[in-house]
Amino acid sequence: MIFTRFIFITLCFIQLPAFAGGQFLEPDQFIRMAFPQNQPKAKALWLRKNDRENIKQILAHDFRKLRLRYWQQDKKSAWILEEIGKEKPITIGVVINNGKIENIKVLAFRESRGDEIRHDFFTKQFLQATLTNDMQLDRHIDGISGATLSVRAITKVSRIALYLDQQLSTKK
Amino acid sequence: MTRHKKKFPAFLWHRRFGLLLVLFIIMLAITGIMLNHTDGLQLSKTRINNSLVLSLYEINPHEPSISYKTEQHIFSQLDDQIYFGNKKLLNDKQQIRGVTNAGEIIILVLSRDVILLSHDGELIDRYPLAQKTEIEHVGMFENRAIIKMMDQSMWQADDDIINWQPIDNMQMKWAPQVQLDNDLKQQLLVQYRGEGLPLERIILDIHSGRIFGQLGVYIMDGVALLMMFLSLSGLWMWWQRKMKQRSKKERKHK
Repeated sequence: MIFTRFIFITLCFIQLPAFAGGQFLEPDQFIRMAFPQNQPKAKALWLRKNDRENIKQILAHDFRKLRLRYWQQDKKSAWILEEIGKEKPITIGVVINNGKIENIKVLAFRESRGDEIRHDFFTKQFLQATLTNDMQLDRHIDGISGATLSVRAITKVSRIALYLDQQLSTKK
Repeated sequence: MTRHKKKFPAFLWHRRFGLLLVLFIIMLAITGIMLNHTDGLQLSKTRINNSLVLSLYEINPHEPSISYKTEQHIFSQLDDQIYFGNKKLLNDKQQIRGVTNAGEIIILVLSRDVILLSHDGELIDRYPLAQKTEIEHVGMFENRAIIKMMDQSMWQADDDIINWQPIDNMQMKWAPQVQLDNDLKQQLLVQYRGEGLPLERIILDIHSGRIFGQLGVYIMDGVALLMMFLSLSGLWMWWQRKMKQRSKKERKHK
């Protein structure tokens, strides 16, 4: 009996490896949420050398793609972008309306830690955020302890989405 | 018969274990001397690319290579490494399902993703094809890229290869899988393995038995215990013999 109790108590204290990853929202679902009335077709934004340099500056590492897909209706645009948290890419969807973040969602999180960034208590900090002239958000984003790299990744993606939306406006 | 009975059992086991350990002791002595002179023998600078040795470290590809060809280019996959000609393109666990030329753009399809590349191998775009099943094939029909999914549904790309629309099933020629020629395969294998392993690592792992995995470590633990036994049994026999010789001398003196 004592032995069984000992085993039970020991098992209670054994910490199993955490795995926070998963696909939370399909890209299609995200686009339907962004444009509930009429879902526009995806378009491609070809990046100029200058755009790639600016994205590289925001990411603080190399950026290889020559074009990015987006969905647009009037002054609203939606972007699905990826950035590496610690080791694996986090897929993030961002909706920009009139130059301000209207919605931001973590669609897929593949790391073992740091998925707290997908919760609304964190993402609501980004709502209505705009981009300053030096390509920073116009506000401070409070971090989450233990999820520093994921917070950094989602912040970078939000800045890139705002930057890309600006490029769409200037192209018109 | 009586002589055999008189033998102390430690002697029998000493002899048996001694014979069993001959090769191990020689191997441990040679590798030990080599490791003592790592710098002089330049063990850390010498790289080993032998496929048999590398396969012990599981550095050889586990799966057979997959290759698809367009008119100008060949795409290959060794495990999770994907190559454009003889250059490494990317790392991905998804399998290549085909490649086709769409004018200025090369469409490379993996089991879930569509990758668009320039003819220089530059990444144009990459996105997942939002479908429940995996991609089976890719091909061109009347200048339009067509993808066939595992559930047999077929999808046609628009001009910019961004949106894919469902189309009726039809008979068409898909990008065929090709055999990788030996020269290119060797080049890819060299890249897959990297620079190879330093000889010091291999000697160290032979010395510890780790080259044969955890079982090798346990075997070398056993060898170490037997060597301790040999030293103690040797000491015991020497002591016994000495005591016998002393008692013989004492009897003679009496």
